[in-house]
Amino acid sequence: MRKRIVAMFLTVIMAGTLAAGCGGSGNGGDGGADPQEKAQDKTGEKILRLDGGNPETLDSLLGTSGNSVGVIREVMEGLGRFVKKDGQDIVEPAGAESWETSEDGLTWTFHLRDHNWSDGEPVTAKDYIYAFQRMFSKDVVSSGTQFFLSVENAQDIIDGKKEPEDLGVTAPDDKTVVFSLTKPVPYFEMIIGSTVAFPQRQDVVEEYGDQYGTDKDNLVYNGPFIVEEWTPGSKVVLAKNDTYWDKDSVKLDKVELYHIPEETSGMTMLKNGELDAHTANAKWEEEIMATGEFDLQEAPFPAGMRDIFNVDTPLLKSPKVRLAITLAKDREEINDTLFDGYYEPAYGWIMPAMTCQGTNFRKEAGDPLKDAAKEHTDLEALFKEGVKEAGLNPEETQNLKMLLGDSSAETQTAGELYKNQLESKLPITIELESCTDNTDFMKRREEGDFEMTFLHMNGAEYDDPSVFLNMYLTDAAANEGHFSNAEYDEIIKKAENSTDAAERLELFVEAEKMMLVEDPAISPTLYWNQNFFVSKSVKNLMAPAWVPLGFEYKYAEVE
Amino acid sequence: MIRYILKRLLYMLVTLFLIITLTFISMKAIPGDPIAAKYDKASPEIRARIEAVYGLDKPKTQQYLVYLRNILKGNLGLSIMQPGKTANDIIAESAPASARLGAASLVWGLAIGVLCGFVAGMKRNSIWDYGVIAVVTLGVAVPNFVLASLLQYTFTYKLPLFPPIGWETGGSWLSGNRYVVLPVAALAFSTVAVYAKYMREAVIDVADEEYVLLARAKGLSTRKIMTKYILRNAILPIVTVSAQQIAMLLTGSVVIESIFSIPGIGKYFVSSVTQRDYTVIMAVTIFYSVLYMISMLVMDLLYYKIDPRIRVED
Repeated sequence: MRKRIVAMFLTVIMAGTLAAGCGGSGNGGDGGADPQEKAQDKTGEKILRLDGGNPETLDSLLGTSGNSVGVIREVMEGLGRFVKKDGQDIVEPAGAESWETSEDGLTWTFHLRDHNWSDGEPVTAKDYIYAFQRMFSKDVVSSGTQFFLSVENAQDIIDGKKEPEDLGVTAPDDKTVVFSLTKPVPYFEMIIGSTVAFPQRQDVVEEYGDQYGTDKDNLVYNGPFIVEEWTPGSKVVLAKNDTYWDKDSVKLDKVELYHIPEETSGMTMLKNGELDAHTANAKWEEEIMATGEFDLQEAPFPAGMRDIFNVDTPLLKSPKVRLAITLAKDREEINDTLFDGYYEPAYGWIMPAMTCQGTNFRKEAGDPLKDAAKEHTDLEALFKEGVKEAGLNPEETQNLKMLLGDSSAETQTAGELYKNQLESKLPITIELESCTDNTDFMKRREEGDFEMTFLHMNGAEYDDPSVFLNMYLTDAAANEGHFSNAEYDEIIKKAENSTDAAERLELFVEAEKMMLVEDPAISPTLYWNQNFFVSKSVKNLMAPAWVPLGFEYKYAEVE
Repeated sequence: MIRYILKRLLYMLVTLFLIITLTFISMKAIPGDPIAAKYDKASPEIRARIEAVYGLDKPKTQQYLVYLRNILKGNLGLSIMQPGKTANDIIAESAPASARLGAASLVWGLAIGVLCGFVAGMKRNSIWDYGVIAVVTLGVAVPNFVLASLLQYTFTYKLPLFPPIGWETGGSWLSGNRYVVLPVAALAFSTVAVYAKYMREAVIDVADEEYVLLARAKGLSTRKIMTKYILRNAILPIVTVSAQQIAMLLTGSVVIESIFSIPGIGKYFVSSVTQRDYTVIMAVTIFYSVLYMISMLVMDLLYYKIDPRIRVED
């Protein structure tokens, strides 16, 4: 009897503890019971909630990740801002009211508007000069330098022959910034819109030293928003900048950016009403669209997936072998099997989203690989011819190692699919090699330690075919497959030095055909796109193609 | 006693040195490097400049010596991925979230686990006992990342009670806010199982001891026997297990923090390895090792305090 009482007593304690446990969580439970309720702020503030809350730094010269760039371009402002107007991607005047270029295309002059930093100081031409000189200084590691190598003396400064003060960016007065170039860069306004070209205040940078931009208080802002809260690795909250020159256009009070490392979490938050927009894909489309609360916003995106040939590989020395491998790829099947048909099979390389000084490149260039496929119907014969050219025995089955980007199951499946496509059409044995992860993959590519890669992304930083075509110049740093073709170099050089838009376009079309068909450097697979699920309560949320993997929300509104 | 502690501290330093050396060697042996990870298309000139800034251009033996010297100064080095931040900053910034997650899991795991084990041990072969055994088996067999995903799926996707990911600092330490609930549940579950298992066995052992029989024969109340004789003696193994549990919580938190996107040390540990952020990998490894060694030492001292037999043998 007594025992039973004790047991009862213990049971009560236990139940009590458990209840306390639940009670503890209960506090949270109440708050979490209705996520919608939390989403709707009580103060009537207009809040936009998105992914992207994990910037590594707010220093516009050092931030390279999508999250860093995404925050910087909203809290800072450069000469121009990437926006989408009437479906067109443009750079609209921002920190500069207007700009013009000289006849020979070698001088660009920007006229700043009257506007201030968040501490009340005016933004002047000096801030631009300082940022550009800092970009090229030895103590700062900025990837921005590679975009501005065409600025006078840039290369000499990198080579140590000149000082950052000699850079060809000058200020005739406080409101004018002049760039002197060594060669015409028709797409120059595209690169001044990128965050590395944003101004920085010398006194603020020097005050915080290497701590500049590591915390929300360690910098001053001049963009539509300021950083109100920053929990590293978790989230960033932006608030409207009341000192912004165009604050009347800014309709949001706050923007909450969460760090969402996993797609499933993002989609769950979207479905539960805790996020307003997220990158879309086929797997989730049906479920998300079924809620009736989202629109699918389609955004062409200047990136694609391709394979690189390393021309140092004996078998790949022959252009015919490379072409046969390129044509043996079934792009439709890869897209349907691996990506639920979400992307677009690529029969060229410059993406449909790209223009050459305003003219759509793809429309002019057509589909070189489709034309080549019509011409070469017998791939096995083409392949054998190439093998002979490479000095190998065409009657033997050839071996080729294909390097996969990581060791995940998805990548392996993708590799097996392409392996089967090739082996069924050509007398070849493909050996799949895996990298441990993406970092390893990048290193091996950089060192040229591969025979052929398979399926990886490459995106454009600015809107001009040269962004991709320059990569395959002999000795270019990004030329990972060591492609070298004197004729190709010649065409690109000619285009680089031309100011005539029609001539440049023609030369680039020729160059693309050459590096895909006549002497293939790469084998394109898919054109990427960037579609988003966007809540119906959000208006004017833009996804300009030149804003990598994210939104421009200066003009966004939330109902 | 003081000699014993000093001796232990000396061993700790030797162990730490070995850990640092081995981690350094294995870290440099993983293919890939941080510059390739951060700067996709770095030209050779830019690469050379970055290497110079982080000292990666020097031979590896020299890098190792420089690193040891910096550690002696308490300087864990600059992060490569997060410019301007030192590894010290990153740990200082992310430790609170991890500590909160770990402490809440340990306290809840301990309280619920010990209670369950005690009840199961006292009521052997009852429905309570079987229930606890079932929980123990599940807790030991199901890895916490499986449980975490399951909880996340059930309580955020199917039944949206809690946010799927994120972290907020509000709320009391133990009960926390709505962001704390699922990660703590996922992390504490195996802790509950381990404590329940040990407690149950200890209670069963102790209940058969002669002094318990004597106490019973003397006519002491069951309640007194339980609290004074059984509970006090049965709690001993719990102290031993606690050091291991702290280690389990540390490693467990690496996974849980990644799944729930909690800005703690564990999450940085994972991302620093994939990005080859050498200094952060080293710093977190050292931090974890020191924490573990200290918890071992504290447990040993606690044991010494609780169990008079050890003092006699000493």
